[in-house]
Amino acid sequence: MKQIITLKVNGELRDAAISVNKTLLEVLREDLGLTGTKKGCDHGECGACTVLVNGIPTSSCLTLAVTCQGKDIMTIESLASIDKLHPLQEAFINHGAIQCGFCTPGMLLVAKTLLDEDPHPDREKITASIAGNICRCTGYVKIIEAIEAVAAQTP
Amino acid sequence: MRLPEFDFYEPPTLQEALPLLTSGNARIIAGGTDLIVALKRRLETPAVILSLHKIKELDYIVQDEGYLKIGAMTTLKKIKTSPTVNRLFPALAQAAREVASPILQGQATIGGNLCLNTRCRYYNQSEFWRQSQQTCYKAGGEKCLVTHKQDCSASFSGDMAPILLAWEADITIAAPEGTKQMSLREFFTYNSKIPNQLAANPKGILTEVRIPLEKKEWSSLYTKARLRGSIDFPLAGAGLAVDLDPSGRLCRGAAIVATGVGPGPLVLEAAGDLVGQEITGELIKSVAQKAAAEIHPVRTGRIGPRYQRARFKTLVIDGLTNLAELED
Amino acid sequence: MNDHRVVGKGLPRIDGPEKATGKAVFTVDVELKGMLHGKILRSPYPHARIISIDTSEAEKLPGVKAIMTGKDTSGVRYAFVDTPRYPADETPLAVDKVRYIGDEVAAVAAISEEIAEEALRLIKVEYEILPAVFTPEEAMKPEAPVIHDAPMEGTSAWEEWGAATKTRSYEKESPHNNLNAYTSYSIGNIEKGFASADYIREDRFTTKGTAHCAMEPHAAVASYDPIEDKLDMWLSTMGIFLKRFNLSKALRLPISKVRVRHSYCGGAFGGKIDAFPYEYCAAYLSMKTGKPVRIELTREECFMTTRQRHPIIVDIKTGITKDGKIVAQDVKVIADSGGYRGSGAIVVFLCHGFSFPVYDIPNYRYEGFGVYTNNPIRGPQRGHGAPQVRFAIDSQLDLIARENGLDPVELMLKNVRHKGDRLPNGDVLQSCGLTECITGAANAVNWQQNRNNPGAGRKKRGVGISASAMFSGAMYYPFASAAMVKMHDDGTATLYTGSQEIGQGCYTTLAQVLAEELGIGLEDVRVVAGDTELTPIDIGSFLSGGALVTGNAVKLAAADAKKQLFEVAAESFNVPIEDLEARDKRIFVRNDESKTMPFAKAVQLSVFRRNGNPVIGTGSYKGNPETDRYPSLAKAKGLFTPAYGFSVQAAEVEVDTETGEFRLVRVANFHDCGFPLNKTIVEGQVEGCTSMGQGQAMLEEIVLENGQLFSSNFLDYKLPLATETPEIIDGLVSTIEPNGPFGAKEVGEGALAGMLAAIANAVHDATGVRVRETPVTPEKILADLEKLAKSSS
Repeated sequence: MKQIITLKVNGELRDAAISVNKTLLEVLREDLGLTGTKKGCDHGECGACTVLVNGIPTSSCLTLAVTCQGKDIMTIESLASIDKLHPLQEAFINHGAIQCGFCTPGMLLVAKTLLDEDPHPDREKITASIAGNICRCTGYVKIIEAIEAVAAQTP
Repeated sequence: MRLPEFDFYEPPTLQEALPLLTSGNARIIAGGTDLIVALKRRLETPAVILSLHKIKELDYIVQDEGYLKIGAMTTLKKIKTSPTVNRLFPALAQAAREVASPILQGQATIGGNLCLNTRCRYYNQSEFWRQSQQTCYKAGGEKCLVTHKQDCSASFSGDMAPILLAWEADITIAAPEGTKQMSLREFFTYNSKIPNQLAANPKGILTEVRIPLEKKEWSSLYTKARLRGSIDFPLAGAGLAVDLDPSGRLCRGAAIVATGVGPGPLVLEAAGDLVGQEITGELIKSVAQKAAAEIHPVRTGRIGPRYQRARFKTLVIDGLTNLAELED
Repeated sequence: MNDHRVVGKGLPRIDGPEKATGKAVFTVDVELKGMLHGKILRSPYPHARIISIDTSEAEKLPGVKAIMTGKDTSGVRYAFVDTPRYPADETPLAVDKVRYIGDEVAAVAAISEEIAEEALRLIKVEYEILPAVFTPEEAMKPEAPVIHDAPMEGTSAWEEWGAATKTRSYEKESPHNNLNAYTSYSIGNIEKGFASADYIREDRFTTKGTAHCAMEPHAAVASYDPIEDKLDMWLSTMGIFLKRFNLSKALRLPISKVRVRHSYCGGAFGGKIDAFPYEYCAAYLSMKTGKPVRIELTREECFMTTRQRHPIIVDIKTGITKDGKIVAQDVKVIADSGGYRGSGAIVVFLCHGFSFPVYDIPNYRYEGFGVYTNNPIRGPQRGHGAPQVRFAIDSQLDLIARENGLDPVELMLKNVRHKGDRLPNGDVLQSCGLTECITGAANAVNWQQNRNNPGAGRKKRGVGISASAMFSGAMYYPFASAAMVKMHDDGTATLYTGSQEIGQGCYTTLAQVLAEELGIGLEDVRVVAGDTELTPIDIGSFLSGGALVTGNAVKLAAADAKKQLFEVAAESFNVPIEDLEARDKRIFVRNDESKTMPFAKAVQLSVFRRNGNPVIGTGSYKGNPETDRYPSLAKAKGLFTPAYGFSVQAAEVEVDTETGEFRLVRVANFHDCGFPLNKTIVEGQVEGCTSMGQGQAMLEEIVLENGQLFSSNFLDYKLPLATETPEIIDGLVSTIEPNGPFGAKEVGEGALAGMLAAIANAVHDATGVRVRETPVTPEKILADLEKLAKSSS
């Protein structure tokens, strides 16, 4: 059962002819060429494929693409503006919160949502918020510190 | 793994959704966090997937007619952050915070969580993995691979059901022949293979959860043991609710509900021992002992049943001690 | 060292922006025109003979472009270890037998992943199930099923490298069945040593297998050009030149026809250096179809088939004198290699090699056995043998200290090695910060106050400590790293290196080495890396040689470029070259700063005056400059490494005695990395090791029953989440290793190895419970607490 769907991704309307059994992750990576979203486990357990759907962090590997029509989808590719990194991106780079970089896109989008909802979360809240995003490289300390640093800069 | 092929429907109203259920071998998808994984693993290969995501009439939290009513498609994230829920039933918000991970809480719904399938180390595996074993009873085989009996022992692991059962919440099920109310106790079958009334060829759609408002006066909490601070299903969980008189000592009503340790969320009789009594540390210990004796976990996950039972007992002791505001 | 301008600082990594914006291309992101998707059919049985394979139905499926089975690869050997003693024992696809659940049986290339998956369902394989064996001690018995019948024939890779000269058939070194590796070593006189001891104890410790869990699944993209007979490969790997060698040998293509490129690698931790059948299959399917083929493994396949840390049994007997000097130690290690040797021959060597440098023990005997079973294959993982054997040694040392009323820290300090010590194999410790690491870590957890002080309440606190050592590179193919520094018109430089960014930050640290040596800023350096055609040879990002070996090559290349610039400037200023110095992209005449020239000018002058020479510096460094031979794996002889990194972990835990649940409160992880080339990156390595070690000590376990994996996803395999993060105190101990660039040596592996014993010892300190098998879990602690309560009542 193939159908043409229109997705609003990073503010642009994109058409894709897809089967209804394709996940949002597969459509983003394979049909729309947005490979910044990563497949770490394909089962919703690692957080690497997180995108924002109507502002809510969502495991794109557990989401049928067809159900995302009419919703706003944001991927890592639009976190920075054309010539300026998002403060979280700056902080992740400066605090050593990125090593292999594979969990980074999902981690950043979750962190962005956290700070959008609460600009001044305490350490415990930061930790709880990123608990669904597995990072094998960093031991999380520098990721937490990077998010704290952005929170501290925010008036 | 790619998803199997299926026909897909996303009706905008309940009215349009119900007739689609009669097509046979249909599965309902809400948040999808349980079902999509099952599909990838070919644990289920339904002909029809019926998505409820467009049905806006199923997404609400309201007080009405002496109940807090929650639409089945309300996400756990909405529940955990809802001021209404946090004011009236903070234990429900807290239970929602304990489910899976924060990301999945944004997708998973309360209806879906109640309909969560039971889990087992032999069942929740890939198509390839399962080739190395006999087909387990839950997957249509002759014997359970855990107990070697003609029965399924997969474990119910939902985090929302225990506290709702402790409050004697009920649900609404819409079906082509009409809408009916059902107590949650009736909804759960305590049959691991078909864990609830809507599992396997659903004839209706769970549309609403109702919590009687008078239960907001009870001291309640959901307490969960797991190896890590997130993602994990409960190795044991307990929904606890006690109705204390104004002195804060005499217990007028009580409920203890277990999860993660049996075929469904188990409402335990041990709670009866609290009713009419002054709550003391000694009483709590004896109640917890009795409650732990009522559960019969089998090895469906990594943790051994002996530890699950011991851990459940401590959950009950610590939880009741906390609710009764006794010193440790 | 304080006058360094670029190294030693916590500068932001240069690959940060690409990775933060989703632009970084990982192997799983490589998409070529007309690319096919490959999938692998695997054995569902732990041990079986293949009677027949019928691919006819799968071939009929529209969209299927090629199918390969063992008969296509017959005679091909493809394995990580391939020496005269230990010839390769793997074939890309099973030929006659399958030896573990997940063993590769057939591979398919199709126009989509869906079709490739469907094709696998249509391949019919008939098996004759054979008796299987799942524990190494059972497998060693004479009556156990034999897993590998006849040794492989042919010339081993090590002979082709010229690193081994004598070809001889595989001889079993002991009467045991299913043995695939054996290392033995001794010094002093073990009997006399024990005779001189005042206290002796014997223990057994065991560790479970653990998974690497690199977040990027293993993947390979192969693109073969049939007209030019050339193969292009993109691999998520740690060593492109080793991969090129192994692939060219297995595919019977000349080295010149194989190009291996490294896209960004989403984590490795030792798990992306072994020779994997999916790489070979991707190449073969591309050669068969003439189209690019990508094979990306599922997470389950990663858990099952891309190697695990060896589960190890350690029997250890140690004797000490009254004053706490270890006088004799007898260590016997049995490593479960799984269905194939994997790195079995290496791990039984490294269990000695990574451990022996810690304590100075005059009478010592070591025996290591690598054993085949029908479990999944085991390979290198961060520390490769060190965590397992350090768990045993330092758990036992803690027990010895307790039994004798000694302080484990004092016991460690009394026995550790020091700077200047010469190991029996000839390695000299030219830097050694073990003592500083021990005292630093102990102080950081308030050792004296917190030890033997669990508190009175339900929750008990305890502290524990352990130490480890790690190579900084070793002699392994291709043995050496080279580097090129190309100067540009504007005075900036490009580094060409064959090393691989696997998350460890080597592009940044190597660029810092270049910038420091040359006298430019980090922002003036670009890095071209990870391409066997574009870059000079490199040892690869394993065995922790990146900083020291490749770092030295880069430093020499930068020095060479600088010398060429100086030659031009010396001529212009008419001064001797020795009078020149460089900083801020300029050349200065020392003591006469009026004479100065920007690098840009020097490059320009070089082009005009020196026959068009645009200034390209080169440098190279060998894994072990003093030897031409790899160390003997079986005899543990020969030089091992140019420098050892040392580290000490002290842990503080809080145990709930009612539930057995415990929290890792604090870890002090002190690492002697010689000199931290980039403080932030070194801290990142230490913290990553702490987290991974925490997981392996407390949570992680490859759960196997009859060879089948029950922990093949991130729900069942429990690696630490953000919620598990302890307070981590990074102790960077600087000892300035003379062999290292600016004094740098290993940092990425050793800091994990002591976590297991540190945590087990801390739990003992808190509760009296001794867990002798990792992971240390609430379930085990509670069971033991109940036993203790019973025996005391």
